[in-house]
This record gives sequence, structure tokens and C-alpha cells, in this order.
Amino acid sequence: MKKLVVLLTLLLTTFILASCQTQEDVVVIYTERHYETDQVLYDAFTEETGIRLDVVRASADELISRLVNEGEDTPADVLIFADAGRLYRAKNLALLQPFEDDIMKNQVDEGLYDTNFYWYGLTMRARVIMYAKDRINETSLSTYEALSTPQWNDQIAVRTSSNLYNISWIASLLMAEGEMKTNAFLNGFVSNLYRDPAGNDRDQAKLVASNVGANLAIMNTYYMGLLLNSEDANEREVGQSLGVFFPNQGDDESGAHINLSAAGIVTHAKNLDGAQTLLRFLTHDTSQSHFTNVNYEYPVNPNTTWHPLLVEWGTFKRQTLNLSQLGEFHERAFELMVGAGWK
Amino acid sequence: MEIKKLRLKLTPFLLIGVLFVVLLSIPVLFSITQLFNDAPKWMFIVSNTLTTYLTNTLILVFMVGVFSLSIGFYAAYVIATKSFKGRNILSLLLYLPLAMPAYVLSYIYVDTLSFSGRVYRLLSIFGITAQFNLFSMSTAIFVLTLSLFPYAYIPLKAYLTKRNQHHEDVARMLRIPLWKRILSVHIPLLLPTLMTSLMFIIFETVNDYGVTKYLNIKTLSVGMFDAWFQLNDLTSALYLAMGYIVVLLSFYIVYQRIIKDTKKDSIKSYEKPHLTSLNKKQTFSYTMPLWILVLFSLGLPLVELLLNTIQSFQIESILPWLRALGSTLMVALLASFSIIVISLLISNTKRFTSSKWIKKILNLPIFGYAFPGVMIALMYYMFFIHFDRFLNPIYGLFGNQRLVLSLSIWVLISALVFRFFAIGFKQISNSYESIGMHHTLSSYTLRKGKWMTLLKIDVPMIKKGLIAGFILSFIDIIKELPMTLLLRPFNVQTLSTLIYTYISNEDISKASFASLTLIIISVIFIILFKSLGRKKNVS
Repeated sequence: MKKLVVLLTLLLTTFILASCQTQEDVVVIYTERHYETDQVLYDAFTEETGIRLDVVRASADELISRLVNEGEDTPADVLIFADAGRLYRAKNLALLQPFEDDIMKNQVDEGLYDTNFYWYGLTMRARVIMYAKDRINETSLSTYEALSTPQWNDQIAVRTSSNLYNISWIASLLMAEGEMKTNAFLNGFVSNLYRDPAGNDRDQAKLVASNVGANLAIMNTYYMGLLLNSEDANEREVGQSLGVFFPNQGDDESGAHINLSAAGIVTHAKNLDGAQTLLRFLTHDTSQSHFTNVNYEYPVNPNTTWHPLLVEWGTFKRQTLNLSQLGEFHERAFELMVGAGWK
Repeated sequence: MEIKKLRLKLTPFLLIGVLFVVLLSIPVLFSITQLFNDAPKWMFIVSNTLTTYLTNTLILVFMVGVFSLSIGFYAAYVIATKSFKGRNILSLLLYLPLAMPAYVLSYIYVDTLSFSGRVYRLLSIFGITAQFNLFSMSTAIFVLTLSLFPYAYIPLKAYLTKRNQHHEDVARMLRIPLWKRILSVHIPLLLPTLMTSLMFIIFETVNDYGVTKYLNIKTLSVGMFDAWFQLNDLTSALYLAMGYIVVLLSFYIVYQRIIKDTKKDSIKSYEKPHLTSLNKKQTFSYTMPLWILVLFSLGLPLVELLLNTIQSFQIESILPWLRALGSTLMVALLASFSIIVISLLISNTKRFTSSKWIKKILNLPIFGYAFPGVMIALMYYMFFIHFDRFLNPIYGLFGNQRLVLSLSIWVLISALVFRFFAIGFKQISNSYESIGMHHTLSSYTLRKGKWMTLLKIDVPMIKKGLIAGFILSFIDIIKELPMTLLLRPFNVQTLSTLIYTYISNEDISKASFASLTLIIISVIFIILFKSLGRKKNVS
């Protein structure tokens, strides 16, 4: 029995020692973004600053759950989400700390960071209407709200109600228009869907391109960029057959909805300096150029030049909602979507 | 007397066995305590979506179960009872869809049949431009059946090959009509094997998240994630998870009953089975459906993956691929090896225990197979954080890190061991059953120590079972996604997480290289497993 106790103790000690890491300058990132572009920037950051970056990639909610459990022992320094709505949840759970910084305020456009500086935007994608160029006249399109009118019966393709981009979009309508109008919109919109929602954004584009009845797709501009630059000639063809329309651009209209990837510093960050340096680095013009040129995302830095494709689509008015509050409407938006029959 | 004492004493074997069971099961208790929290969205789920979740899950399970069993049975029947040209190769090819992760199949089929896909374009050359609704229950049933039918084919083929022909012969001699022979001879004899196959198929179908999520089929498992993430209500998610765990466990209990009642009848025969030779015409009609099955479950997806790889291959992707390959092999080897060692210790303890209760306790970790991966991941993570806090004074001696084990690879390994424990354990238990106790007891009588007996007598005798258990766990582990995604240590990318990265980015072409690698590794291991299948002690 003694031998057994000694053996188990030795085993446990070996596990612990094997798991201990040497101390060096490290920033730990918990991120929902899973793009190769981000990794390229992380490598560039390490090269420039000597700070190693350790990365955990998972969905926003899994990361939040992890942070809550880790409490003050968390190794995380920086939290990056693909939608600012989830950062609201993290902020509410006291998982983030404010970081008021002049450099950051200069590097990130106003309205694209938290009013109390708990998070800063990194990139934007506009959630817009893509239409079949050969069948739809652009002049027949106007606002998101108009998509609920009978004119578009059985013509719209969109992904599921569980998709965070869609939830964020409907949350923005809910925030701006209130529950009654949003409900009315949803009922009309869902009845105009060509099929039960499914697939990803590119699948919606392919459905419209296949000319079977669906003429409009709700998509992020980012995916359109990927389609038009795909290695597959047929995918490029799909992209070329579609037009990009930014809705709600009138003077008294709300502007196009944007999904904002954003980053914040974790409350119990161990390497505060490193975390701050990383945030400044990611919003700097050089990194922002990389985001837009490789990933077709809109930069948050007002001084960064857009990718030519984005320039070609033209400038647009974006929703001027307080993005810090948007997350508050997520759960109700999802309930309304499900209630309206959006699968 | 000596042996009786041995059974009652608190032996190191019993201690270790129970210790491992406790270690593997404790995290589950965390989720049970969560069930008593508030569930603010439960009424919303009940009134809006619960019926859909239940209906879809039942339809999916029923249809996939029926199709997989029927296809698996037909394939097993043809391979086990007929002799024809190409039989060996077909027999092997029908194993290989096991290597194909169902989520990869669903992406491939949707991609190739949608507007810009290869098959769609090929069909359009012949004027066929019909649009299928690919995001449908039918696609989910199709894809899951293609990847799960080997769960029926493999055991049924083993049964038909080794079955005792005498019952049938006696029934024929007594001139019992065919339908009566089927009802009273064949079905009762087949039932345990059918139920084992069905159990694995049902567990895999209910636990599926990749296929149903992508095709947007709202099943209980998709509903669980919606409740948790979109409605921010973990307790409601746990209600749904517990609901389906209870259903799966009930099925398991029924299965155990049936197995127990029918065990005595299933005497295996080791005589060489008689095979009916088929002429060319018969070969064509019997095997054509099976070749079509191989084409859909293996050929077409592999060609698609290969073409995608050629189209999107970049020299820069070699380094991340190599790293992912290394991590995948390391994680799968560590976890499969742990499963085998722990299964061996627990099975061995079980053999020497007369207490029914202790036997039941020792069986507890096999229920990990019924739990959804993400739930296990979070339970284990919570547990390891608490364990780390308990060990903090010790960590203080080595540095100032406060979370050590929970950030190490061991949390992932433990979760994988719990999730796939049943697979290794079943092989080892069966092997132990088939060799009996005599050799071990003879060794004890010759005053050899218990550990010595385990290593020198038991292990060599059940070697084939150990290897089979290792291979089957290995195949499942390298395909696993949600737990690996959540629990992998910093900067670790495995092949399955690499596939996920590309698929999340809607880039199926780039995901193909990693998918192909994953499938090739699985294929190699399946071929190894198949070569073991010819030997004794492998179920």
C-alpha cells in the first residue's frame, strides 16, 4: 500500500512539474476569431515587441464560461469577440476592465468603442442585402424594414436564428424600433423567406446565384469579399452575379447594421502592459491595413485606407446605435425570432 | 479460502479501480448541482421549441437507426454468407466509412450538390439542374446513415460469420416454416448484436452536433446549445441534456436486460462458415447496392476532398498541418493509452469483486458515452480549477502560477478518457470474459503477485482486446471536436480543430487537406483493427 501511495504522489508531482511553464513575457488571448490573418498579426506582434502570445480559441460563450470559472486565477489578459454583443455580456459579468487611452481613442473611430472604454472595435463587417444583379433592380431596394413587405414573398435567403450576426442585427432593430415594430417586421420577413434558414453566408449567396426563386440574401460583406477572391472559379462567378446593397442610407434612416469584432482587457489580467500594447498594436494603421487587405473587413482606424474592393462598394452610413448597449437586447431578439418562426 | 479473502479485502486493485471511477465521475456531480439553479427561459423553451426538439430527435434517431441497421445487415449478410469475386476488398471498404467524420460528409455533400459544386455542374452538363433542398432532415439522415452503418455492419458480420448453424439446421430438419424460423430462431439469436449496434448508432445520432447544427435541424443537442448560448440559460440547457441522457440510459438499461436474457443462447461456432458461391449475374445483383454504398460513403467524398486539396494547396499550409498532425497524434495516443490502462485496472478489479454494488460503481464511467462533449468539457474544466485551487500551496513551492493542471493537456486527456472510456472498456471486459479466471487463479496459487500476474499472464492473454480497444478509442478521439476545441492547451491546433477553423471561415477547400489526413490516419487504424478481428478475444 505504501508503495502505491509513493507511486501516486510521484505521478502527480510529475504531472504538475510537466505542466508548469517557465515565466517569460507573455500575453494570453482568449479569442473567438479564428482567422489566419489574426495569427499573422500575432506573429508580427511577437517579432516587434518580444512578447509571446498564447492563444485560446473557442466560441464567445465558451470563453465567457471559462473566464467565470477561472475567476481571479485566469491566465487571460485580452478577450477578443467577433461581435460586440457578447462583450456586453462579459462586461456585465465584470470580466473586463476599462482602458482609457488617448492612443486608442485616436486609432479607433468614435462610436466603435465602449463609452466607458471596456472594449475597442478591431474590425467591422456590414450586414447588408446581396441581390441577383440579373433579376433585381437596385432601385427596388431601400431598407431592412422593407424586406417584410409582400413584394419579396418567397425571395429572401438568410441563415438561422441561432446565428450571432442575425441576432445582433435583429437586436439593433429592437433597440431602435421597439418590440412591436420588430415583431411586425419579423412576421413579414419570415414569411418572405425562400426556404427554412440553414447553412452559412456563402450558402445563401449560392442559393441566390442558382436562380431557383431566391433573389436576395442577407450577408456580411466579408463573405462577399471571400467569394470574389476565392481560388474556385465557380465561387468567383457566384460572387460576380451578386450586387451589394447598403440599406437604410436615407437622411432620416438608421444606416446599415455592422458586426463589430472587438477586444477588451480582462479584469484579472496578469500582464496589463502587454495587453495594452497588444490593443494599440491591433488598432494601429499597419495592422488595420492587414485586416482590410487580407480579410476584406472594414478597418476601425479612420486613417486606414480600405481594400479596393470595399472602396468599389462605396462609403456607407452605419447604424449609429450605442453598440455598448446592443448586447442587452440579444436574448429578447432571439426569443422574438424564434417566436416569429425563424428557424 | 485464500481466494475468498482476496475477494473481500480492500485490495490495492479495488482501491485504484474505485479511485479512477471517482476521479472520472466527480466532474459529473458539478452539473447535477447546477440543476437546482433558476431556469428563467425554461417555460419559453417548453412553449416554443421543445416539441420541435423532441420530434426532430425522434425522427432522426428512428430513421438513422432503421437505415443503418438495414444497410449494415444487408452488407453483413452478403459478405458473411456469399462467395464472389472482390469479396475481400468490398468487406474492407465497408469498414472504412468509420473513418469519415459525419460533419465532414455533410459539408462535402452540401458543397458539391449546391450551385457551384462539382456534382451539380456535372449533372447540369446532362441537363439535370434540379435543386435539392440540401439543408433538410433527409440530408441529415443520409449523411449520418453513411457514416454510422459500419456500427451495424461490423458486429453483424462478425455474428453471421461465427454464428452457430446448428439451430438453423435443427429447425430445418423439423420442417419449421421460414417465417417461424426467422421469428423464433434468427431474431432471438440476432437480438443482442442488433441491440449493441443500435445502441452505438442511437448514442452517436443523439450526440451529433456538427451535422444537425450545420443543416439546422433543431434536435435536443442543438437546442441545448441554443438554450445555453443564445438564451444564456445554462440550467435549461442542462435540463435538455439531462433529458436525453435519461433517454439514452433507459435504452442502455433495456439493452443490458436483453443481453442478459439472451446470453446463454448465443453460443459461437468456430467452424468455417459455408459460403454460397455467386455467378457473375448474381454477383452483380447482390453487390451493386454495396458498391453504390461505398461510392457514396467513401469514394465520392474522398475524390471531392482530394480535388479540393489539389485546388487549394499552398506550401505555407504544410507547417501548421505538420504541427496539427503532431498534436493530434500526441493527444490521441495519450488519451487512448490512458483509456486502456484504466480500463484494464477497472476490469481486473471487477473480476475479483463479488459485490453487485461495487460492480455497478465500477461500471459508472461508461456512462460518459451518453454525455454531450461540450458538457463534459465544461464539467472537467470546472473540476480541474477547483483541484488547482486545492493544490495552490504546492504550486507555491515551484513558482507563482495558480492554475496549472486546468491549463495543461491533462484536463483534455481526462475529459476524452471519460467520454470514450466505454469503447476501450467494452473490448477489455469482453476479452476478460472470454478467457475466464482459471489462468489468473492458477498464477495466484503458484504464489505469483497480483501485479506480476496482471502483467505476465492477463495482459498477454487479452493483448488483442487491448489493442482493439486502443485502436477504436484512437479513431474516435482523433475525430472528436468540441472538447478538443475548448480544452486544448494554449496554441495547440489538432487536425479536427484545424478543420473547424477553416469551416468556420466557410472555406471548405482549405479544410480538405486536414480532413483527408484525418481520414487516412483513421483508415490505417481501421485496417489494423480489421486484421485483429480475425483473431480471438476481439469483439
